[in-house]
Formats: sequence, C-alpha cells, structure tokens
Amino acid sequence: MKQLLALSLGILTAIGGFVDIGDFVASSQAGARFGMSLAWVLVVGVVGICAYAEMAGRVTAISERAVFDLVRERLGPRVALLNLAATFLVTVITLGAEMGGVALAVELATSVHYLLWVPVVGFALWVVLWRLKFQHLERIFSLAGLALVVFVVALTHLNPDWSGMWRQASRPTPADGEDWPTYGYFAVALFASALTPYEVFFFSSGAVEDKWGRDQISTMRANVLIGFPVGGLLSLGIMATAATLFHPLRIELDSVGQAILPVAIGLGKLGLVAAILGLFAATFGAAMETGLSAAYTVAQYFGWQWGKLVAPRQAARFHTLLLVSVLTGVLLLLTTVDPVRLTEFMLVFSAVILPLTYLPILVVANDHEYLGERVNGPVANTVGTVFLLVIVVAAVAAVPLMIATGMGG
Amino acid sequence: MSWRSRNEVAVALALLVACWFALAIPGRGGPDRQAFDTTVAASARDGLSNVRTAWLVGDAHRGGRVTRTYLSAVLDHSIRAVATAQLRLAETPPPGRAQAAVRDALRTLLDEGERAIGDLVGAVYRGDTAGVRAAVAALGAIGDRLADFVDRHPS
Repeated sequence: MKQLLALSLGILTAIGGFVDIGDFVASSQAGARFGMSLAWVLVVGVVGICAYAEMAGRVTAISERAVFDLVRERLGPRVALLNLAATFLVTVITLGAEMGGVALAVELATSVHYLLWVPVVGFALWVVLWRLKFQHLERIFSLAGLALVVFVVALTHLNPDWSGMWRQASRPTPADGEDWPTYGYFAVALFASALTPYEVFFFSSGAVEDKWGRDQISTMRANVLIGFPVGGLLSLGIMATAATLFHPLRIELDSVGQAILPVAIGLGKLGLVAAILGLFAATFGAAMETGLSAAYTVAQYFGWQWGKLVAPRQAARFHTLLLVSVLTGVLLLLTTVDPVRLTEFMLVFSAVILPLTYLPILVVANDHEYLGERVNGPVANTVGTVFLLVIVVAAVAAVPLMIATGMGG
Repeated sequence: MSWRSRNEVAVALALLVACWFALAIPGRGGPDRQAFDTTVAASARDGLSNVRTAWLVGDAHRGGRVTRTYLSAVLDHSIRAVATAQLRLAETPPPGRAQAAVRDALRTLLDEGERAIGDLVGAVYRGDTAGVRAAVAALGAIGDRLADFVDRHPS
C-alpha cells in the first residue's frame, strides 16, 4: 500500500510538473493560430521526452551518478564544456522566463504590474530553494500544478466542435491565411517546449538527490511513461481551449492573461482562480527546477560538491551558483523584456541546443562500462536515433524560421 | 589534429554558419512597399486580436465570470497592445497615395478600438452596467470591421 501510494505520488508529481511557461505559451499560441493542426507535434515531443528521460533515469539509477557528470567523463572536458555553456545559457534564460510567468500569474491575481513582483518572486524563489527539502519542493508545486486540469474541464464547457477539432488534428497543414514557414516555426517551438534541456538534467540530478538505485527503475519508468504522457494531455487541453475559443475569432495570443480566458468563460471565477493558481504553481515549480538545473550542471562539470541534501556550507559554490542564477533571471526581467517574448526566444534557442543535450545521453546510455547489461536495447536505440534526427532537423531549422517569419509574425 | 587542419575545420564551420544565416536573411528584406504591407497586416492582426480579447473579457465580466483584478490586467494589456500597433503603423511611411488611404483606414479602426477599450475600462471602474454593455457592443462591431480589413490586406 505504501509503495502504491509512493508510485501514485510520483506519477502525479510528473503530471503536475510537466507543464511550464514554455508549454503554456507554445500550446496556447499554436492552438489560437492553427487550431489543433499542430497537436501531432505535442505527441511527438512527449514520446521524445519519455524516451530520453527513461534513458537518463536508467543511467542515474544504475550508475548512481547524474547524467551531466557522466557526459563530462565519457566525452571529455572540451565537448562537455560546449554542452555546459549552451545548456547553462539556455537554462538561465528559461529561469528568467519561468520567473516572468510567476510574476504574470501574480499580476492576474492582484492587478499590480508584474515588474513590481519580479524582485519579490526572485527573493521568494531563493528562500524556498534555500529552506525547503528537495522532496517537498518537488512535490508541493508539482501537485499544485495539477490545478491546470481546469483547462481540460473548461474545454468540455466550451461546447467544442469535436469532429472539427479531429479534422484539424488529422490534417497537419497550416490554417487558412497562414503559411508553411510560420507553421514550421510554431512546430519547432512546440517541439522544443516538450523537450526543454533543463528537464532531463533536473530529472537525473533529482534522481541522485532522491537516492534512486536499481530497484527504483520500474517506479521511474512508471513516472515517465504514465506521468509525462498524462502531463502532455494538460498541454493538449491548453491548446484545445485556445483552438476552440480563439482560433475561430482569429485572435492571436501574446499574453498569459489571454490564454487563461477560455477557463473563465467555461467555468467562471472559480475556474479562473484555479487556472491562475495552476499557472503560478507550474511556473514556480519550473523556476525551482531550472535554477537547480543551472547550478547542478556547472557543479557537476567542475566536480564541486552539489545538491540539496548537502548542507549549504559544504556546497557553498553550488548555492552561490543558485543565487547568481536567480539574480540573473531577475535582472533579465528587469530589462523590461516581455516574459512571453523571452519564452519564445528561449524555445528557439532550446531547439538549437537540443542535439548537444540529447546526443550525449544516447552515447552514455549505450556505454557498458556504466550500465552493464542495462544499456539501451534495440527499441530504445531506434526511438532515440529517430528522435535525434528530428532534433537535429528542428535545431537547424529553428533560427532561419525565427528570422524568416519574424518570430511567427 | 594539426593546427593547420584545425584552422581548416574552423574556417569550414564559420562558412557553414554564414551560409546558414544567409539562407535565413533574404526572408526579411524587401522593398518599402513590402515592408509597409507587412506592417499594416501585423498591426491589423494585433488590433483585431486585442479588440476581440477586450470584447470577450468584457462580455465575461457582464456574465460575472471574471475577477476584477484579472479583468483589469487583461484590459490593460489590450489597450497597450493596440497603442503599440498604432505606434508601429505611424512609424512606417506609406510608399504611395493608395497606401496612405489604407493606413488612414486602419488608423481609424485602431483609434476606435482603443477608445472603446478605454470606455469599457471607465464603465467597469464606475460600475456603469449600461456603459459596459455599450462598450462591449462597440468592441464587437469594431472587431468585425478589423476582421474585414485583415481579409482585404493579408501580408
């Protein structure tokens, strides 16, 4: 019974922790612009993150070391430094975007401009990261993020044209008045939102913090293979509500407040409050994960003491990095860059560096020295290789599509 | 690997990156006419999106479905977004007389949209139910006219 409860809690955490500001922005914008015709990208992205998170989790459970630690050892310091530089930069931008999402959620609840909340959010984030135990901070916000299920409930109250939505989803072509490059740009952004680089590094480092071993592999697989796809359904729900309300009216979304409107129209004030709470929890949880990820990767590369389980005095450099990352995120937002625009940039640059994140995981997951007989089988390698090709295509196409379409027009 | 071959690899990589950007950049350029058309289309789409958002949220307010703080944040964003669209349009000179007429038509619609959103904000603030109803109706009509404009002026 206790094991079942732990398993259920893990799966619920994976579901609630799936959506972050990138998923929220990309799914709602894609739904408003293209209806459900980009839903297939979400499905592909979820399969990709499942495949690679399973590899990262297995590598960690067997070797009891974080993936980035092994990447440096396996590929050497030079290649890993390139990986580190790209990942750290994108992760800090992601942290800024997530903190912007938190501040925007608070603005919707208070009507006080989000920029005034940014320093408060930064301070709160640092305090929570400093004081809360790893398991608590992972679970509290991920479980609260489950409130985003209101998007799925609201969808049923908006009387959607189910057959029309299915028609859109089954015809992956641009909507009327849209062109292929714009469709491609949103496809890349949506794909990157499901595979944001920090996710696998946090997943693997968190597994070390949670002291996973060989006997936790089946639990890890259940979290990944059930939790992530159901979490992907939340993203699909966000896309579907936008497709139902905004697409027929030709409303393009450029704010988080707009994206929540379908819930208010479908469910009223109670639904609206739940949606704002869900957005707050999802972005705050993701901000913690990105902050930790940024510090994890640098500390693991340089071989410093790291982790929430270690007393701050013993991992001073790790905690300093955490603080510097949070401060950088705050300063980034205080330049007055629009958090939604920052998220769009973050998704494009995430797409560009995706191969640097995922190729090393595939290499390490095939290394007998670390995994013994638990190396990738033919299915995992086939799925991993196919996804790597898709990732490379997305990485090469991301910047030209961003420039050619003016970030989606 | 020798230094010479390293340099060759570096030059090859630099050329690859240059080609990559060169592939992307032609999509941006174009004559003034094209830049003007693109600006008009983008401004009209932004105006349409934000006028219709204000219309939806105003209607939701009438039905008691949104909180005051949320309403205020969304309307504030809408009014700023329409103002940005107006500014962008004003900064792009029309290349000819026909384009000047197009710009004036869109400017009128955006001005009306901004005013209607302002009226909605004022009516909500005063608790003026009739004023809210009138502003929402006006936003619906302006949204339809903006949609017609967008149809007639695709980018």
